[in-house]
Amino acid sequence: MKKVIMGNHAVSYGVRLARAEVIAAYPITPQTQIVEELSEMCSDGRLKAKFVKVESEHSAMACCIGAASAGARAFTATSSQGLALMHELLHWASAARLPIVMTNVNRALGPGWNIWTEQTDSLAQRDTGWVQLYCEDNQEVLDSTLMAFRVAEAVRLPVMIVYDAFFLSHTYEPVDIPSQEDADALLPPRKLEKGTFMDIEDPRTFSNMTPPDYFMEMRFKLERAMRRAKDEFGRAAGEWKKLTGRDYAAIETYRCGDAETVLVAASTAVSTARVVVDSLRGKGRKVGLLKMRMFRPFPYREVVDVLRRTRKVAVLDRNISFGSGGIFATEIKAALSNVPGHPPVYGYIAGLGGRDITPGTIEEIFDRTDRNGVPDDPITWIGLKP
Amino acid sequence: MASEKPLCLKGEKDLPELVVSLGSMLWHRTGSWRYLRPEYREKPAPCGHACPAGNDVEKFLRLASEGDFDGAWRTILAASPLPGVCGRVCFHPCEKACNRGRYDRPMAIQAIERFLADQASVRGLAIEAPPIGSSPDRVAIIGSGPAGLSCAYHLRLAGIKPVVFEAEGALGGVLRHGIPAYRLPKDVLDREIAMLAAIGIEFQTGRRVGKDVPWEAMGEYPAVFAAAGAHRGRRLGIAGEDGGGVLGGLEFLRQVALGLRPDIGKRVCVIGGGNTAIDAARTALRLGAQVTMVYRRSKAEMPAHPEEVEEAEREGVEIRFLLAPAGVAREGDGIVVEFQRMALGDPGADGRRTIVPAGGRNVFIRFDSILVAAGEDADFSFLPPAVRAEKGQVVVDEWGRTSEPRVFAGGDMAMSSRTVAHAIGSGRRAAMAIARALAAGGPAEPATEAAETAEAPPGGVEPVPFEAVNTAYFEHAERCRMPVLSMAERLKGFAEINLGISADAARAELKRCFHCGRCTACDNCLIFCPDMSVRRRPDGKYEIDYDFCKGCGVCGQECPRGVVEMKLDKERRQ
Repeated sequence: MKKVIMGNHAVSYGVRLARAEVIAAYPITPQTQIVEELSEMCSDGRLKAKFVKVESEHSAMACCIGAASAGARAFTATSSQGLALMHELLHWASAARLPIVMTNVNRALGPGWNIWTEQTDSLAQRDTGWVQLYCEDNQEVLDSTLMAFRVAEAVRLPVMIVYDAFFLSHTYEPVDIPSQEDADALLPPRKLEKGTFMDIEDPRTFSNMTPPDYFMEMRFKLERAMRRAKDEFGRAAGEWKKLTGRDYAAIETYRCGDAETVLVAASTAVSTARVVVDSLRGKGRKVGLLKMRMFRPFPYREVVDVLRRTRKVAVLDRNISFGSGGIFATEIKAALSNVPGHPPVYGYIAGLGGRDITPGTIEEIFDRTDRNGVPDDPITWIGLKP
Repeated sequence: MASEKPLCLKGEKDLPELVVSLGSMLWHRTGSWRYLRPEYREKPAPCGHACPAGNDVEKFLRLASEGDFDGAWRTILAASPLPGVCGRVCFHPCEKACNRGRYDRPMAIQAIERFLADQASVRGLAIEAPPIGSSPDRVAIIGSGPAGLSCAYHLRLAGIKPVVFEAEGALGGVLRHGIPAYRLPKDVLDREIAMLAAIGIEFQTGRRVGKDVPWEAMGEYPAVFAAAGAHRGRRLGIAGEDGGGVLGGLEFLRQVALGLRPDIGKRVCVIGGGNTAIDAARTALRLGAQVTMVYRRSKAEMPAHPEEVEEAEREGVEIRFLLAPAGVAREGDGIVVEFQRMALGDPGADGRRTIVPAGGRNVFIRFDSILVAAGEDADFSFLPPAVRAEKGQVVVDEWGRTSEPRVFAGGDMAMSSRTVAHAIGSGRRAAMAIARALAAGGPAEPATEAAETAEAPPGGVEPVPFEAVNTAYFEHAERCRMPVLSMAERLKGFAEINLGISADAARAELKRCFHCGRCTACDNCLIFCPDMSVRRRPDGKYEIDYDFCKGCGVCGQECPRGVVEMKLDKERRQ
């Protein structure tokens, strides 16, 4: 059944279909409607979950950690400062190997206060051990939410669904709401193995002291689980395609086959870039597009397989790591660095704090990349007012 | 402090996927961090654990390192009355087991034992034995070798009057008649036997039971310990073996020990690869002979102790391998021995490789005499048939009990590990069993008390492994060297080769000991514990406050000697 809904409500529908059991969240613009709708669903019985009101995002994540430790399917949503406040517990959730799912609506961090989109908030959490999936449209937001629970529970790692403030969160699009039957087929009830959750019949302590003799091994297991997450996402996407016909992968390519310049982008900028690629192809320019859906685990092999064949790589970052550059660009450079004769990587920063990334913005990126030699500076600012 | 000391879970595969206790922690009243628990417990050191005589090696090294040489000597005496002997001839399994051997080189335990015994002798120390009653129990001991002496000594310490029957004219058995003087000077043996005589052990020499004394005479004793050794040389079973010029290796050693000089000529062949063969070869060298040892298998299969083999070769014994004697013929003044060439086959039941004929022509070598050292058998014809024997040995349990209630046996005639230390251990265990049997007035049933004996180490736990030692706390240090007689001096006669270490060398060597498993109250656990959960006990040692211990493992890591060890807390569930 198709419905015209905002991105935030697409999450709410996804969480309902996932039969989440505990929802703990604190409202923050632009995430508010997610939990608003979920609280309605809990109150009118459409979702049989415990909705826990909390006094901060830190408490929200702590609550999810408790619920997930006890074996529940737990969900929360936040944005920007809220995510930053959770930071300590993000590490906890992953190292405790809890399959929590969280939506983060990308929003710039203050000051100055800004409620508009920027990826720096979620990318700043890249080392916390969370799987991160970036979405381009409302349908993907809903589908990713379901797949997120599936991946999280299969590998015992938390998963973060990420998308742009306002460009998706508050934008209404037609979204196919999957049947509960299809959702259940993708996502069976959480499997609880003995000794992995808090069970009053089998009392144990969790997160105990782990001395130097064992700590590395536990981190090794976490890293191994992170790598399995990519395969598990592939399996879930394969099943979801059979059920719904919609296709998802860790990365997607658009007209990359013979492309000499490939642009790497994530989130809603990908839609805009697709239009620009078509337009430039119409003019005979050999350009292509690589969409990064999965950021953690980083799909090195897939990214390298695409980019090693091209002549130049441009990366569009709606984020910045101060003193370094765009975060996607940094990772793409790292991925290519050991590939002999790899193409140069051009790093572009645009659209910070919610500024529009227009077709003109992306065309300028392609033009500069094609025209210029490899820039000395890892950052080329696009649309900066002089 | 850099260390490779592992905790109790070995690797990634032993660990759970997530950080969770392996069992219930309901018993734990405070906190929930811990799933590893430090365990403070003294444990046996591997040296003493490996000693067949039951010596508490770590303890005597500890007392000696504190300067208490007399206490150290008395600690050895608690297990063995023959430290001067063992300090010279024991094959020191303690040193093989010593954890220090995996760090640099093992402690020179034997040299220290010898030093302690020799200094006790110089200082005129005597064995302290409890007074004996007016009509004590009397126990007959047949044989005055290490097993018989040990049994007599331990019985005497238990207030029993031992009467030792010795077939030869002098005491000591194999120590006197088998082991050459260059390894064990007779005065050292005399000195330790004299100490035993001084505490009231009765010795009767020249009294062979079954000949000079009928077995029936043993009937007046409530218990008999038979330890007559294994003296009958095995025959080769080849043609010409019985003629002149062929002598048993042990018989040869006995004659030399008695001061006889058997005529062996210039070119001597020693057949065999065991310790008797080596002793015979080195003794023959000292009588001026040119000695060739011939062994059926290769060097790796030789039962002789490798150090002895090496010394023999250094002194000039030629060893030829893979030749099996096939016949002896006499030609003129000499003897021609025919040898069949052999090759190594598959490993046999004992793990050593067997031999098979290699083909090719036999080898003929001319000698003046042959010393046959192909093993020795025990002669227990003096024992009544009711004492069961199998495979050339009297059948005994670990307490030396035979199939006859009154009769106990030990030493070479009752065990397959024929070493002095094993013999001493067998005599000691039999003495314990006999003492208990006499006290109970019935057959000995000592097994239930096994925990307190030499055979069960203190605490009844496994000895400390090398991995439990934090070697970061120990500096590398050179092992003391045993001063030896020069090669030229050695071959002039039977002077002792090893000269013993000085007090200074002993003190330096004693500093090398790890004192595995023994708390030295070093305070490391107390100092390093980040949660003040290690407490000092009134006796200066420690206990752990499990209500506050987080199980971080620092105390276990920093214990230099394996007293504090980390264990899985789930073990406490029971």
